[in-house]
Order: sequence, then C-alpha cells, then structure tokens
Amino acid sequence: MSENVILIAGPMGAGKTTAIRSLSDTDIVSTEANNTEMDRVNKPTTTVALDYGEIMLGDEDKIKLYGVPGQRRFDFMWRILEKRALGLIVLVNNDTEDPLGEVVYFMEQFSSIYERGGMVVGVTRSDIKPEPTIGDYVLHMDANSPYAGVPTFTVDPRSKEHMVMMLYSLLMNIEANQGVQENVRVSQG
Amino acid sequence: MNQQKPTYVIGFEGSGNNARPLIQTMLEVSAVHITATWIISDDVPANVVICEPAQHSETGQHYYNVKVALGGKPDPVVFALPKPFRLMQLIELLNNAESHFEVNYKPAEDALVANGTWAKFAEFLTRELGVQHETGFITLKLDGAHVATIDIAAQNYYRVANLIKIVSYQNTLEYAHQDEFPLNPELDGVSPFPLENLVWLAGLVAGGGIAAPWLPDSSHFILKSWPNFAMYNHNMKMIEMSAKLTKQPKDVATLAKEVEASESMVWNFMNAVSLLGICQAAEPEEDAELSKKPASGNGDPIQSNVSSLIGKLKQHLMRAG
Repeated sequence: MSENVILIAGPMGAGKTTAIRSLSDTDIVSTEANNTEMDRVNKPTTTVALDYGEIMLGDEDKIKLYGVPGQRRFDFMWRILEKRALGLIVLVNNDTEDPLGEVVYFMEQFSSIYERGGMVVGVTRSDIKPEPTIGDYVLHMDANSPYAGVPTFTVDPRSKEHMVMMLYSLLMNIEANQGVQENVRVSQG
Repeated sequence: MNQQKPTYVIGFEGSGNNARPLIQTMLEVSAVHITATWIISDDVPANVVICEPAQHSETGQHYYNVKVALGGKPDPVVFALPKPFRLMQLIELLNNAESHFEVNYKPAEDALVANGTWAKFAEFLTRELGVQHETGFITLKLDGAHVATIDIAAQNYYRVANLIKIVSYQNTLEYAHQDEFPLNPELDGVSPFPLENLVWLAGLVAGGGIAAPWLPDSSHFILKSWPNFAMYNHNMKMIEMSAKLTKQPKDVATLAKEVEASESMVWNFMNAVSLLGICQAAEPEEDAELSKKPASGNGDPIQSNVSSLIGKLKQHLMRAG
C-alpha cells in the first residue's frame, strides 16, 4: 500500500479543519481545544496537534490529509511532517492582519515542498474582505519570495468542489514539475 | 414609445484597417450596446473611425464624430484603444462613444434609457431578455436549471448590459461545447455571478475552436499565472493545461497531445486565458532556459508516482460523481 501525505497549513482561522472535513472520505480525527487567543481570532476552538483525514483511492492507495496547527509555537511539528509530505496546501484567511505576509511565511516554513513543485495557495474569506485580490497575491509572491508560479485561488473551505480543484491542481503541478526536471536530466545527459 | 435602435457605423482609416477582423469578431461576441446597433462599413464618414496613432492628427477631427487611435495615448478628442486590446476595452470604448452620441445626438427613440433609471433598465431587460429584476440585482436565467444573479449596485449599466448580451450569445450556441465548460453548480440560487466569469465564458466560446483574433501571433504560449478556477467554469483538462503552460511554453498541437484533448478545446482555453490577460506569446527556444528554472529538489527522498496517483484520484472523483 502506498501512502501519500498532503499537508494543509496556514494561520489560525483559515479553515484548515473545515477543508479536511470537505475532502476526507472518512470521519476526520481532530485535536481541538478551547481557543486561548480569542483576541486574535474569534472562534471557540482551535487545532492544537493535528487534524487528520483520508481520501481512499481504491483498496490499495489513499491520500493522507494532515492539518497542521497554525500557531507558531507548534512549528516543531511542521519540521516532522514536512519530510513526509508530497504536497502542501496553504490556506490564508483574507481578513487576517497580514495575509500576504502570512502566505510567504508559511511557504518559507515548508520551502522544500515548494522545490518539489508541490504547493498551492487558497485564499479564504475573500467574500468578507475582497482585498488583497488574487492578483495582489501573485504579484507579492513574485516580488517578495522565490515562490513564483504557485497556483493561487479564492476558495471556500466548506466547498468540496473547491477543495478537490485545489488538490487536483496541486497534483498536476507536481507532475508537471517532475516532467520538467526529467527533461533537464535527459538534456544534461 | 419608439423603440427603434439607432445605428452607428465603424470605419477604418489606413493601416487601422488591420484591426478590422478583430473588431468585427469582438463586436459579434459582445453583441454591443442595448440601445445601438454597431455595424462596420467601408463608407466614410463613419461615427467611429479607427486608425493608427500617427494618422489621427492628419485628418480633420470634424470629419468624424469619434476617432479611435489604436495603441494611442488618451486624448481629449480621440479615444485610445490599447494594442493588443481586449473585449472589455472595446466595450468600454463603445460605451464611451455612445455616451458621447447620447449627449450630442440624442435620438428621440432613446427614451428607454434617457433618464438612466434602473427601473427603466430593468423593464427593458425583463421584456427583451426575459430576466427578472430585484432591487439591486438582475437575475438571469442561464439555462433551464441554472440562474445567475448579477450585482449591479456598483456597475455601470452599459457594461452590465453588454455582459448580459455575452451570456445571451453563449446561450445561443446550443451548448455544443457544454462538456468543455460545465456550469458551476454554485451558480444555483442567488450567488452573485462574477462579471469576470462572463468574460471568461466569452473567451471560451468566442473563437469557436480556433485562435481568436486577439491571441498574440505566435506558435508558442506560456501562462504568467493560474486562472482563479474557483471563480470560473472549468474542467480537469483546463487544470492540466494550466499546470503545463505555467512551466514551459508550448504550442497548441503539443499541448493537446499531452493532455489528450482536442486542439479546438485547447484553442478555446487559450482564447479565454488570453482575454484574462494571463497568457503571453513565448519563443520556442525559451524551452531550454525555462526548463532549467525549477531544476531543484535533486535527491528528493520522496519517490511518489504522482501520475499514478492522479489517475486514481480522477477515477475516485468520477465514481463520486
């Protein structure tokens, strides 16, 4: 059986747990606790360890979905999970204090995944706060980080269609990146 | 009330005539203004004359009502149309021209929109397009099962009218290409229909499976960024094309073969992303340079057969409906 790990990261309140719930074929395992940072994000609970769900691909394969806690103090877990991950979905709530900075921060934290081509960005709550726009995110990533060409979408984590679209885009991007790398290897003999 | 529409004429001067097929096509797509009929004619003088920037100062301005310089700079008496221009820019220009005519040559039969009230506008839409009107919104029936609602509160009504015409145009195609741009189920109910999505849809249908005139004259193309697919009607092939085109320039035949799609589907996609402004021409020889950029991750310990995973995910999604 092959297992493929997809991480979902982003600041608190971005909708990571909801996204896993939308994608998972199984009941998700969630480690939520009372939110002690209500002054920052107004929601009663938050993930303190991991959220976990699965997409079953027949009898032999599955995609494992890990939602990682958004608070910086849990970053030791990010290092562990990064090594196992095939790809990363960064979710950022557009109404957070510095959404552009948050996206780049999380991309930097998981930079090795970017180098494998396995990164995609989802902007949530853009219906609450329309700006920055997707164009702003693309320009910001191009100008302030080495992370150009990352698929970036406005999404609703409650929408299975949106989440599937993001996951499919992520896998296609990894495959396309691998194809380019293969071409380089061939051309370099 | 006399509801006969005024007719305005577009003429071309000198090398501006090169833009003629493009503007003809875009006029057909946009179906132009609700209060006017635009036609292209060899006869001059015309209401709008399109020319190259160098020519607009050589001919007497008084000869024409409105003059348009392709690629020219904004001028108090000459409209400028960027080159290459896009559908929305042409619509904007025609709206400006019609506003000009409305002020200077306002015909009596233009009473339908003379006072510019939304009530009159909605009345027109209800009668002509069979749409329903609610305060601040226009509800538009896309087909038997889908309804779109356009938030008109912040929109210029000329622009909204033209975009509605685009949707009407789309609906006359009998959905010959329906599998290429399935309707987004989220359009059900009262979700506001993003105007940008109408432009995307117009781009998909406008070329009819061949290169639209606004596409750069090139054999190879590359995407500067991904379309925001959450906003647009799309299918999996479009995602696959985006992944490949953001990595390397490709020609249509190669891309069609790689994603196992028809060339007409690829052209429709190219037309749409070009209309969004995220597709650009690229030289084939850039392949080698660009392909070196992502050459990182050597020695990556994760050896996952992504292609196999994608295939299984596809099957999974199809089973799930």
